[in-house]
Amino acid sequence: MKITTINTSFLQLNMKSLSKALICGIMMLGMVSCEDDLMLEPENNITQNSFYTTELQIQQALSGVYSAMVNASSRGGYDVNFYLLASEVRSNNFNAISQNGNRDYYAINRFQDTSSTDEMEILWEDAYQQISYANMLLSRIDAVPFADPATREQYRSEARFLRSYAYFELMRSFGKVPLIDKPVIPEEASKIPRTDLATLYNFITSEIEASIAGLKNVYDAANKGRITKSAAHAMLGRIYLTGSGYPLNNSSYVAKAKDHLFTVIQGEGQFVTFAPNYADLFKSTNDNKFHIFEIQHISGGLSQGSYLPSYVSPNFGSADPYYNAQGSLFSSAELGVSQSLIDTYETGDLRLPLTIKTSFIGTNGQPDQAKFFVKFREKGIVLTNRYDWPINFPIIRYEDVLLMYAEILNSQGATSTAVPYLNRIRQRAGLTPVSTSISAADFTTALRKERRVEFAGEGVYWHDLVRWNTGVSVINQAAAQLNYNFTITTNDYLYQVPLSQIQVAGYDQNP
Amino acid sequence: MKKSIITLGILLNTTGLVFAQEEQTTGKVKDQDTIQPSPSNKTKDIEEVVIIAYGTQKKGEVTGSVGRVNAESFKDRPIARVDQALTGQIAGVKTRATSGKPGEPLEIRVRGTASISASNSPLYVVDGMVADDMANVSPDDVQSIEVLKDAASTAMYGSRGSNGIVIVTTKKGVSGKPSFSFSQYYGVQTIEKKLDIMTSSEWIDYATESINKRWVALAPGNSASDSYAVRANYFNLANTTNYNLANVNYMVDPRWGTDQVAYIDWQDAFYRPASIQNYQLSVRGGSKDVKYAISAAYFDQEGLALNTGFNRYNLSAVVDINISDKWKAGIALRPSYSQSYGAAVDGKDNEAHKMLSMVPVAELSAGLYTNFWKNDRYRWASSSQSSIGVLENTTNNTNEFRLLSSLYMSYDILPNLNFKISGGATNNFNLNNSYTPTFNLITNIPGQVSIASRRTVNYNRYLGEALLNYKKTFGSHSVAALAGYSAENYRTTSQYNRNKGFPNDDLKTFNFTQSASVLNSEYTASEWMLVSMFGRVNYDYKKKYMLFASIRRDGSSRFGWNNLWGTFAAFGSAWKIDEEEFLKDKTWLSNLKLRYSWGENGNNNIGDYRAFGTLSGGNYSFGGNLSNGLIPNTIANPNLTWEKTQSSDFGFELGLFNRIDFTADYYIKKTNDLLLQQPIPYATGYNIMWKNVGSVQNTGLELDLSTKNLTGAFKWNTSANIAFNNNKVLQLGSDNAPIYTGFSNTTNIIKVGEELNSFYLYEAIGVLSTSDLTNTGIAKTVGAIAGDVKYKDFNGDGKITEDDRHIIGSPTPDYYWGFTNTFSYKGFDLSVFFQGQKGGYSYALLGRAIDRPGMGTTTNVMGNWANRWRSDADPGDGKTPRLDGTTGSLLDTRWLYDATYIQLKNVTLGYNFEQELVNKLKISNLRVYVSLENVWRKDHYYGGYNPESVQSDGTDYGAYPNAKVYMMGLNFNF
Repeated sequence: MKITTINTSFLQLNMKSLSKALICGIMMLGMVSCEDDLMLEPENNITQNSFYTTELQIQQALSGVYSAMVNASSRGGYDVNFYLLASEVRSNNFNAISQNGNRDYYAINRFQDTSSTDEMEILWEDAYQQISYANMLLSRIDAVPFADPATREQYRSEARFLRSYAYFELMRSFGKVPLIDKPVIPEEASKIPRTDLATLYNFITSEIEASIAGLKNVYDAANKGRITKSAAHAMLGRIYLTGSGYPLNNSSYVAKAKDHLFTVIQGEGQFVTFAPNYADLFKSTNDNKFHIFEIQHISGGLSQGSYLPSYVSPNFGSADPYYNAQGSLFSSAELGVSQSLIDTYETGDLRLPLTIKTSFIGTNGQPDQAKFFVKFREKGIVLTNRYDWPINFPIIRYEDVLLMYAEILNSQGATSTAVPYLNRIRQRAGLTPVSTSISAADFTTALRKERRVEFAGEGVYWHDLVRWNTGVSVINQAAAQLNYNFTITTNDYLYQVPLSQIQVAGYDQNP
Repeated sequence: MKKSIITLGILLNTTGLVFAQEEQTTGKVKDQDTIQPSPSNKTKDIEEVVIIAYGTQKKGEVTGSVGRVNAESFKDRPIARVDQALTGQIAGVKTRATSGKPGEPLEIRVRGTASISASNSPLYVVDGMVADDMANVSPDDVQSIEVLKDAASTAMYGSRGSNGIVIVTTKKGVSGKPSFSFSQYYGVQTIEKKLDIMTSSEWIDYATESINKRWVALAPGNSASDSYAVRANYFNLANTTNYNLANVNYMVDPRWGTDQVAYIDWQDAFYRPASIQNYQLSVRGGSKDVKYAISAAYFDQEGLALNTGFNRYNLSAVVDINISDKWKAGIALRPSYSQSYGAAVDGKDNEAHKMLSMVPVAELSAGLYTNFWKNDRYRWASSSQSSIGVLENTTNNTNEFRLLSSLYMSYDILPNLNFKISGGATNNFNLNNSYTPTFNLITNIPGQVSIASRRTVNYNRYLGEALLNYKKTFGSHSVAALAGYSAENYRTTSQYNRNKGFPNDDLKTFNFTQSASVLNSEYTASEWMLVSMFGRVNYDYKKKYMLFASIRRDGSSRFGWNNLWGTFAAFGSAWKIDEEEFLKDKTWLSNLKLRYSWGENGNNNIGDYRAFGTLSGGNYSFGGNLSNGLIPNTIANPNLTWEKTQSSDFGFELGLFNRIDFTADYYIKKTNDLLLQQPIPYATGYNIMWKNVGSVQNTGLELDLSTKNLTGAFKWNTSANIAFNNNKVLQLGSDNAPIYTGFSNTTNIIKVGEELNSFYLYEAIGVLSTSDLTNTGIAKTVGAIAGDVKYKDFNGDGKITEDDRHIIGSPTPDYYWGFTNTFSYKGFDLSVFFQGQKGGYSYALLGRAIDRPGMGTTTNVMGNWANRWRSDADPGDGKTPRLDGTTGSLLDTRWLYDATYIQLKNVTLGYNFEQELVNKLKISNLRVYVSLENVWRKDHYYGGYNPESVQSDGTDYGAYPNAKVYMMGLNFNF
């Protein structure tokens, strides 16, 4: 039966192929040149030469610049890589244990990472991809006709903001990094060394400042999630405040940070909203409502879901309210919350149960005492893919703007002016307010503690420890308490530049 | 039948191997129709004709280096593909069985590895037409295989010649009565070797040590002797006899060592004795003006792994017609249909890898089907499902219909001038259907997580060429010239759909798709084109002095728009010293010849469209809605161009007493503008780019010797070959910066002055003892403990860091060889074929993957872990560290093996029945034989199945094991 089928089909195919071959052969009798036929362009990919020429293409290229934050190489995006692994896991908010091999998060948490640790390469690659996407867009946008020039300015401003933002994350992880602001070929790129911090700060702050005018205060419903003026001011506040601390210690940045943060606060009620309850902050139904700049996630199998909740919590049994059907990355207690963080919460803090789960029902139906972050893990959501959580991730929250502003006021001697900002956060968390007559030093202690618990699990705490330069003492003390056999120095505030990049571009390494 | 030498040259494209007997007095040539060369005492009158690019040459006139394999040498071997016939037969042609999977091609390398990122595979030519591979040709139809090795011989194929050319010539029809022939063989295959993984008792010992260590470290007062119940109470388990509640990180299974659990040797269950069989029927014949050869073949090979295998039907029809004195035409059609089936066995994370790492203990109720259907997972095992169950229940069929067709017309414009036009086409239609049912029926219902996929690949290739041939003899001077033009177009389209979730598992095809969720739905198309002009002139004086020159110009769509065209030239010369007057009458000297050739050719064997910068999807969402985005994903290189290889070849040939033939070739092969997919700084936004960088040199010596040791009633022939190749990187990029390659770009290095893809690893030199820890003279990794791997402090800085990685050998062997002896007496014949290689290294990534206790005790590991370090007093084999050490993840030399091996590849014993006897049965040439393939092998390879099964960087991620084959065969004509 099979043979008969083959016979007929091969005859049909054969007549067609042979006639084509013959025609080609006859063409050659006349020695027809086929040079034009050699210019074959890809059929399955749009080429860069032909793209970036219309308003719609620029708009899609801009979405591409944003996309680096969510699905760059399917490794969880910036929320997992920059905020969880490179930041929160580095701090003593986590206590990673290794039951199933040497995972990167374990090396990071125990300061055993090296220049070959994969995670460092992911950070470097993802951020430079975002930068290069923006560079490509910015190099082509001027030649593109737009119906409304304001749209071109908005797109350009968003791209410039995102490029600077990616540099800022690189600087916080690696310190000096090569500054590239246009598309380059490899030969040029390997000649660009790691640029000093002062130059990088100058570049990124001036870029974001220049982008403010083109951004909108508020976007319509279909464009929620784009960079707003408030986001630019808040980001500048964070960048300047970071630059005023360790290691740059540029004191002239304090006033600049204060101005930008104050601009955001002035917009409260109009452009930004203070959530009435802490619980409202971490619900996918409240996406784009309270945070100033957030990474967008939607579920539905579109590769736009969040990895984070499944990254930091185990498989829960079906009897547990957090059961989600699809399970987690880990079946056992590997990325647990440290006791030190739990102990930092004051009694009655409403935020503790919303942030950390201190016992759960395992997949075997038995209770388990391991402790995990559940801040972004919503109850009652049943997933078909564990990496498809719909909840956005906040990069800057309004609460951070308030507390940064309070921190600056206190550092400038205006402690009593700073206190109401702190108390606003505390009272919403069900805690008693601090006295307006508190000393500046006590205020600093209270504020630092408040920042740790308010932003636990959000990738804020580690960078605070660095800019305050308290990281060395905090981590060494925590390691000693747990009998861990390591101590750190300020060198450990930065990660090693990925070995692959040193090999290919000859960069110098961090100490 | 009279035929001029010119037309002979042209017709040989289709008439194949001919032993032309030249009658010197008349200058006439006649075909000798026997397939086999008849040994003659007057070799000077009988000359073998060798197939070369776009034609043929008499062996004596050849100026280049051409190796040859006759059908005789492989007719009794169980070869599934023509590639396998080349193993160990020609000096300088290296084959590797990178996978033992049925139907898989061999990797063929001619004169070493010259390219880094572009393909190193040779170009294939079947009966004069460029083909993609040899899969369409049934080994039984093959008359001979020639391999063009030097650049002068291959330069006629210009941009594709640099890796050598393999020319397959098939058996053709001959005038006369139809001759039917039938051949068949049947054999049984068994696994060549099992991997040494821990037995169940070794694993239990290993798991017990690991679990008890964790238990003791968990809390003060814990002791390794604490019972299951004590530990169950510690974890507040509801039940102390329900082992499915156990916390396996801290509790051992009290049933270990008893008959309450099943102990399994997974390899014994996974691999089986498997059959191999082949049947071929052919008829050849013709009249004065029409000749035909028709054959049908069926080949079937079961895989060693359960439920895997390959079968193929081949048909072949070749017809040549003399239309008139001047017009000739011919057509060849070769359809084939093949099916390969079974789950993916070899490679990372496929079934063999999973099977080897499965814990060798299971619940009695589940046995081989642990964690499968409704069987519980064994609590102390990983979540891997029974590989036996997966193999038996996965549907994965690839059906391929291939058609290779060609036709030609030839016209003698003048007696010495011939024009030939030919067209060829390859049309392949490949369909893969796979269905993975829902294996876990404890938490799922049938069909719930089943995955069905369907992929179709259409590949069409069209080739047209026109050749003008001229040949003339003026007294002692002979001239042959060729001019040609060809155009080729290649197009591949594919469609792929993969869906998940079905109403049930009753229908194992891509169906019920309305209820499924779409995982993949995609279409791709890719095309490339090559346009070429070429010419060649051969000149000889009195058959003593030979000269030749050729040029070819190629335009390829694959390269950058600034560099579409390339020109490739070659010349060669030969001096047949034995034709000189003073030696001509020395009968003891049958051949003495010197050759020299030089040529340049190219390599365009990279993917399509590599010069373009392209975009891919990069979406985001705004306001809860998807926003389509596009991101640059490859970087443009408008200057991308050929990889160019220049090589010189010095040849020496000596024939004595018509019984000894010796050939030596020395070559220097330098490849410039290496095509390399090079890592580039991420700061560009990309991590790799196709570039032309650097150069690599291969130099080598090839020796071939064949002797007729005994020629009486008892005959003994020997043929031996050996090839030495040295490989060296001369230059890389503009700054000679080394390039890191291999697994995760961390196992190999490409560095100037070193061999290509040298291994660049931490060197493990033992295991740290407790006293080593305090010895400041011994360098250690950060945080090392006693029982960790001890590394060589290569840079002597007292620390073990990545700077201590250094070059330790390369995948390139020092030499490889083949050695065949054939004996015959009366009707009996025996052939014994050895082959092997010396030097070179293999890196066993599979061995490493299942050799890391850091991954926990829920998997099985290599058998050397039974001899692990346990304490200073019990240090094991001195190489295997402790199971809970800190050095698990470094890529070090513990998995690097010397790739030297010697293999008894084949032994065949045959008997040809006497003609009178078989004539009564109305048949002739009745032959029966037994043949053993892959009989015996000696090697140093521990971490994988087969030392040959490595990638070009020398790494092996678990290829399909090779089979030993025991077979019997039968041939006859009627």
